[in-house]
Amino acid sequence: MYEKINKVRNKLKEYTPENLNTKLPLLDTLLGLHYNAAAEVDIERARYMTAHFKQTEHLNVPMPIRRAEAISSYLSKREIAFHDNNMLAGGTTGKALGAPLYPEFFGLSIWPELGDISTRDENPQILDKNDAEILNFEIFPYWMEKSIAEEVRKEDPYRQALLEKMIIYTISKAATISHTTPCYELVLKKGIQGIMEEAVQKEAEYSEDKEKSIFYQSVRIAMQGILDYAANIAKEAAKQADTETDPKRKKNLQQMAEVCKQVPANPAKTYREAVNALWICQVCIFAENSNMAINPGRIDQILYPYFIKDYKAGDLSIEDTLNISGSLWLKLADNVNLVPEAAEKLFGGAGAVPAVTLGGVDKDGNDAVNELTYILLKVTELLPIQDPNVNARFHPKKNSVDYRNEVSRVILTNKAIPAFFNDIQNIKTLEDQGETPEHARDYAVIGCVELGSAGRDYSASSSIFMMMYTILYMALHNGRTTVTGDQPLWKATGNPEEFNTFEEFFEAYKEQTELMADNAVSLNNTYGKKHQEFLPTPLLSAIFKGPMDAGRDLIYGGAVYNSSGVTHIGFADVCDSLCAIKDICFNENNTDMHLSLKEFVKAVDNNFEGYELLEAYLQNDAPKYGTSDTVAAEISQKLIDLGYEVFNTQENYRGGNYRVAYWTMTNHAGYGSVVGALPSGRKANVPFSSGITPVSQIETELTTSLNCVAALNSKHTPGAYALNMKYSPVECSPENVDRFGSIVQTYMDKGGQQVQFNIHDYKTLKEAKENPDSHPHLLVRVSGYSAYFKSLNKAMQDELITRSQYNLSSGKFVSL
Amino acid sequence: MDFIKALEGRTKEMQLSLIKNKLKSLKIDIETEVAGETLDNLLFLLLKAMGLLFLINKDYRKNIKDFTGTYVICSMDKKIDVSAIFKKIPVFFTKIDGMEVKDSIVDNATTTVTFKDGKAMADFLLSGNTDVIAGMLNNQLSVSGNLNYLFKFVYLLWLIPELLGINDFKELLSQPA
Repeated sequence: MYEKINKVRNKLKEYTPENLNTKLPLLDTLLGLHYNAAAEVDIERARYMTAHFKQTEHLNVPMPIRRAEAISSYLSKREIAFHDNNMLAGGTTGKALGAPLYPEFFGLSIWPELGDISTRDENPQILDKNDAEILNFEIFPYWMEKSIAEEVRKEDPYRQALLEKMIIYTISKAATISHTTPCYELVLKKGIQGIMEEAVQKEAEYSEDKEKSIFYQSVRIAMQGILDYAANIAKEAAKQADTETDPKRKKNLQQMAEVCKQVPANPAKTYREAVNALWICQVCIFAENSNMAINPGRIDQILYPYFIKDYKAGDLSIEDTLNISGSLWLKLADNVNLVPEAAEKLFGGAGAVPAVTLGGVDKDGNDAVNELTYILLKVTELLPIQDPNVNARFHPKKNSVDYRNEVSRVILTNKAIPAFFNDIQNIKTLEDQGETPEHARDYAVIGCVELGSAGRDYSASSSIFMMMYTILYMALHNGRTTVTGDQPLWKATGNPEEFNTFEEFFEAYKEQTELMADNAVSLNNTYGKKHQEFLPTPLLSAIFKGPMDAGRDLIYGGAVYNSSGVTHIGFADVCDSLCAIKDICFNENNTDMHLSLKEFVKAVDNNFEGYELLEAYLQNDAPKYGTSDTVAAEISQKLIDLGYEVFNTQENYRGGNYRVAYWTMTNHAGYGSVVGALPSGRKANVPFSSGITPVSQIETELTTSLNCVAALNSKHTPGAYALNMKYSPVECSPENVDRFGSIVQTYMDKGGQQVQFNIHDYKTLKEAKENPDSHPHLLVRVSGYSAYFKSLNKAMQDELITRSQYNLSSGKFVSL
Repeated sequence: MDFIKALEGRTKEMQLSLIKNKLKSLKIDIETEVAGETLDNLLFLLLKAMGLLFLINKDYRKNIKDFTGTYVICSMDKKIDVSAIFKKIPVFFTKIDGMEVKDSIVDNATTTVTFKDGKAMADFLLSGNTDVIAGMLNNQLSVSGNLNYLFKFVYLLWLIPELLGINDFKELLSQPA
């Protein structure tokens, strides 16, 4: 096996980012087009969906069928476009870089911007004037009372209103059904026709069972939409090929026509068919569910049989494989999210975060790294683009050091991707969640960093965002928040002067955490029930393990596993705050700095004005998470345990549980920039630290920081976490690559689940902030996914600049 | 509504002429308000103008075809108490889609927007930024009720300056008083 892999690897050495234009001119051209594409708002789906729902408004059609018909109608009528010479047919929207609008979710939020979204300051998205008129007069009015948030408001106005306070909790179901990994293997093996035939058979078999019968009927209708879409592509490609004069483009169009006549209707036979079938199904899933974190999954495993067959037969060269795979990368990057300007200001720069997972072990626990793994790593190196979010699983005992070092080399080369995931810890934590060993070993990364058995866990992994800042604020202010008036929001848990010990105070913090969790879970479950009522997912359900056997939509718990995810914003800052409270208010041995909690809260509320000594103490002497301080280690674990305890036993609307995670995308910067100071010494309006990452500019030794995170009990972070590290750029020598890989492996050996890197120094990032055009495509890891530095808001840029930078050789901190 | 009542019994041409004159004076009032020290009345003036524009501008009125909804806009410091009620308005010897503005709070609002204070409202308008969510995040305003109605309302609000011929409204607003 290694010999065969090495043969491929040797061939791959011929391809470098520097010679892309000569060795792989197609990818070079497509990359240039991608970089230069301007995002355009696409309303085609919204138009067809709205028209269908209007037409069927007064008909007594069950919602699963009505929705399947609407999706199918859109797929069968949508425009077919070939913007470039990409080898794969199909696109998320009709635009080269499209932002699809989902009116049933949060699409109406751009209503105020219809006149100027094309020219706004933050990440403008071009909206055609006629399309703006259609939105204003036809689409938006229809959904005013029907968007999912309004349906929820009718049932639970209180918790919905709290959600709209923005800084208490966030429920992403208001904006999306997403964050899961479909089972594309099913399509590649059975073909959509096969799935459809199964649905027809079962529809007849369960004709007496109304719910099942409706489900299978809705699947059949949705599958027809996919077939129609592929058939239309084939037809249009053939038509355009007939008149095309450029021989290369003509040939590509002819080949696309042939491919789409075969797949995804039938089982894939070739590598190109398999990749295109996967992509068309991904596109069709976006017709039903929003374009956020729908993940291709473990494609080096799924696509390997097709690759190796063609490769061995001599029908597919390494160059072909790179071109087809690179085409997929660029297709996965053909869409962005449509968001209002404020969201851009606070959280901007996000792609659609389709996560690709490579390497690791197979279902039997054996080394799964293959030739295709290396080819896809090469594609990642050659195409430094925001999406897909590439993740490399590494099993320190099963995967080779060569593989570890190749992942390390790619990171050092493109300076940001992929992220590393530890198979040993992640498989253990998924088994602990009740997944079988085989299923746990077959996990794929979802969106940013979340884990789920690929194609089996309908994980909805970004369901709840917990604002740890607000919980702490409530514990310090007798249950009040900054946005809900003078009375305790849920419960008075004590004024600062009433706590005699840290344990008493932590009890208040715990109680407020529980209350917030209960309310967030309750609202998330209400959203889930409304999704069941209004947004069934027959199309996605058919491309998943479980629903077709159970006769139940994913949204009703048809998947093999049915978890939901909860992530936390502000972990390190709140941890440091609790450390400071313990140290300054409840530690009699602390003679350097002692304050009553009441006085401490007053200082924090005054943003430390007039408390300069306290501020200096907090910055320099207070215990901090990420250092070797034992109090901080104890409190950080206590917080992790609390999150797990509070959520893991809560049941979601599909009968699954809530998995706790610590990733923040760009939310830590956005929310941090609008809230007050913290007892950690963090001043008002300063970004929080990202994910699980210790606060920047604190620890001077890289290994201390890594050890501290690795020591956290990963069984209690089943949704995983994002640890961001930053290295000074170094030469990509074998010694540096090996050192990089060794540090990652040592971190994993100590229990670390995930780590991602930016290989950028302070100076480069500062330059990129001051002169964005000097680094137009500078790729960075945010907190989970990758983004172009230029497209991030100022707070997020500052957070990236100030992240602690370490020297790879010495492991020492580099001063800002 | 008093102004609408005053139109009763007059010819259609006269009604039209009176509305246009009223809009002209509102335009001056708005420009004066923007140039002044406080902006406490700006929203009320804009809403008055909005109500009249619906009556005489067919394209603008198209935005509210058969639309009903009640908005309350107020501030916690009680400096602002305005209601906007979308309904059929009796004018030109018929009833057409329009909006009634009241300088008081009415019950059963579809959407209520509460500014922190008059300054927050002024800041929201002064920013020239149509973004409701930014205001909510900055704790300058809170909304209860259907958010989609608010999104529509803000869209309608920001069409007014251009319709009144105040083409550089946002620029005007962003200049210090």
